[in-house]
Amino acid sequence: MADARPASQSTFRSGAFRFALVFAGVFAIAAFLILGMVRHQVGRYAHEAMAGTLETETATLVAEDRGALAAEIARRMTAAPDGTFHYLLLDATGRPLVGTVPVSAARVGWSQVVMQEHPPTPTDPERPERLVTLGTRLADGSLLVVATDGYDVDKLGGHMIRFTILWAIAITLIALIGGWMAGRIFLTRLGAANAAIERIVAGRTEQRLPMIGLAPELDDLARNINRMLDRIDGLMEGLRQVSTDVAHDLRTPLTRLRQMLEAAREAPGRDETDAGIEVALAQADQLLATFRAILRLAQIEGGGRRTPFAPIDLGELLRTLIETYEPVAIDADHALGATLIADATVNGDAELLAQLFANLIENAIIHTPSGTRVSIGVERAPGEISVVVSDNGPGVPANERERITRRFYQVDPSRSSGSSGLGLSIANAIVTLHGARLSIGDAGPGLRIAVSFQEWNGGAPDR
Amino acid sequence: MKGSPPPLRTQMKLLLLEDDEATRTQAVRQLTAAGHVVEACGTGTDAIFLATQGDYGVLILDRMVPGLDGLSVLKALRAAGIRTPALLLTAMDGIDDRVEGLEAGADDYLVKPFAAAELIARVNALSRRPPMSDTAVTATIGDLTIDRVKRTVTRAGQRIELQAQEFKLLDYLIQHSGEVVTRTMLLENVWSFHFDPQTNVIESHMSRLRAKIDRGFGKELIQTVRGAGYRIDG
Repeated sequence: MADARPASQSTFRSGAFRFALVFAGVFAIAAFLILGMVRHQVGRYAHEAMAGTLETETATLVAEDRGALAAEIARRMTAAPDGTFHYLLLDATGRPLVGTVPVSAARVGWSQVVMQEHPPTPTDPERPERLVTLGTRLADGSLLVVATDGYDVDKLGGHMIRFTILWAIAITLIALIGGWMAGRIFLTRLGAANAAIERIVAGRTEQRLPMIGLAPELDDLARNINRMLDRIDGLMEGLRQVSTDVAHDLRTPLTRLRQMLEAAREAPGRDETDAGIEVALAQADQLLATFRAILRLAQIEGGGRRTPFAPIDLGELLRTLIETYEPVAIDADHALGATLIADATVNGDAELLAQLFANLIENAIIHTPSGTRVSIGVERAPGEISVVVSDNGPGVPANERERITRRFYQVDPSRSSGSSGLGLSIANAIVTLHGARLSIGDAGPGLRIAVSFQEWNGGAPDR
Repeated sequence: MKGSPPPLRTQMKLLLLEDDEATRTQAVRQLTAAGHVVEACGTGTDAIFLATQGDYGVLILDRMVPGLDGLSVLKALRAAGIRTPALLLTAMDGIDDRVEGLEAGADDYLVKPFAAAELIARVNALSRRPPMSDTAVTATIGDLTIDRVKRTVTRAGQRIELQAQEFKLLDYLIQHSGEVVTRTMLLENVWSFHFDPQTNVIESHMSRLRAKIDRGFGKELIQTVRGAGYRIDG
């Protein structure tokens, strides 16, 4: 934990900076591509425009009468000495007749030539000019060359390159700043979550992560981590509870056991000693049963089981349990009745569900006086199956009903009759494990305990 | 019959793997007193060596021993084709632990701490696996006969009507006739209860079964074995 913090504090190693770098890099590449494409297109267009004017000028001159051509060229040169076009006319033998274009450019078709336009002057320094030339062979064998200055096109190209580079740098910078800010916002939110985790690690286990925001997926992450923390909290609470239970509820009977053994040792005769040991053994068995119940409760509450749930027919399960408990109820001077329905299927663990209903039935038999009638019913509501165990005994006062599923709780301690006091706690834990609902109510008179399950709808057997 | 010692069964050679010396000594003493010959060892490697060399009636393996544990020993032996019935002793009694033990090839599973009578009864029950009477359609004990297909019981030529669970209980006793069956064995095998009921489930059913098959006949077939369980004798 300690080494996680310095890294996030260095600006240049921070996630925000790295995020910005990647962001800017991608932007820069995109900007260069777009601008480069624009530059290329503009340059090509300028070049084509220049070639077009050369071709038009050539066409006009070719249309002139051959005899008047030289004079026309000379007229154009004098009319605009610094004009767009330069000319050269050679006769059929290759002798220059008129024009300023160097003779080296006398070729048919497109070509280029460098020309010294003026002698250098202080205001206009020597400037070699790159000319684009178009040579055309005339009908009498003479050669007409029309040239134009490529300078403007070159200058445009240069401007475009500078423009491209400048803007690419600007865009990259903007992207860098934007990326850094976006990353910063994002990481600040994450930082709040990390700080919450730090506090939890430091022992404040009731703390939970704030919502991260920005994206629903991130909030889902925070929510899931919080759910995980709730689960861990529950397990820790279970562990604490087991320790308390062991200390509280095993120490008393262990003390009693020890006293019995001491009494047996000091008993005067062999028979008394044997009797004392018998009682001690029974006490030890009772203790072990309580211990098993505590462990089982912890195990069910922990929920760490690998046996998958399967569809269970509650009618079938309860029929078997009623067969099992009918003689028990009769021996305890109770009556056991049932109203079952067909096809009451829920998803669950058969062994645990058997224990759940056995606990509820036994609870009703043990904690009610002779002559009480215990009824077991299955009820169906849309999408829901409820198992109801009710009796017409004295019931439980409304203000105590909520407490009867607590560990070692006895409504009337004088009637505990050897039960561990964990039966309903275990039942409650099994109910929770199955995602069902336990409700404790008044049977008027008597106690009514209902367990409501979601009806199994034929889907996947495991949750 | 009451008060007389249980009939001594055919002597059996047992292998016991248990790392705690006090528990081992005590278990050897109890099993020897029950008429068996016990070879005991404290490590998994010794257990594998002994089990592959000797001819044992039942293997009793403590699940948690340092090094190679009982579960691994059992898996190794089963993989090597040794089918000797095995009883796993364990301090862990989670549902998954039991399933895991049975999947590893254990035939029974006993949670520590246990009474001597429980250990002996379970070892005896395992030694007869698979007994012929399990699969036979009819079984007779004394003058009582059960038909497992028709689900009928007759004693001294007289038809007796039993409830389904009473029949199951009687059948289980007959499968282990002459042996003690404990309350937990009955809960697990007749009712499939893997928890401690808080009421007298077994006593209630047993008294009804006895009333039907033993009352009015000369000899009581079902005996209560004090501090251990029940036994049916012909």
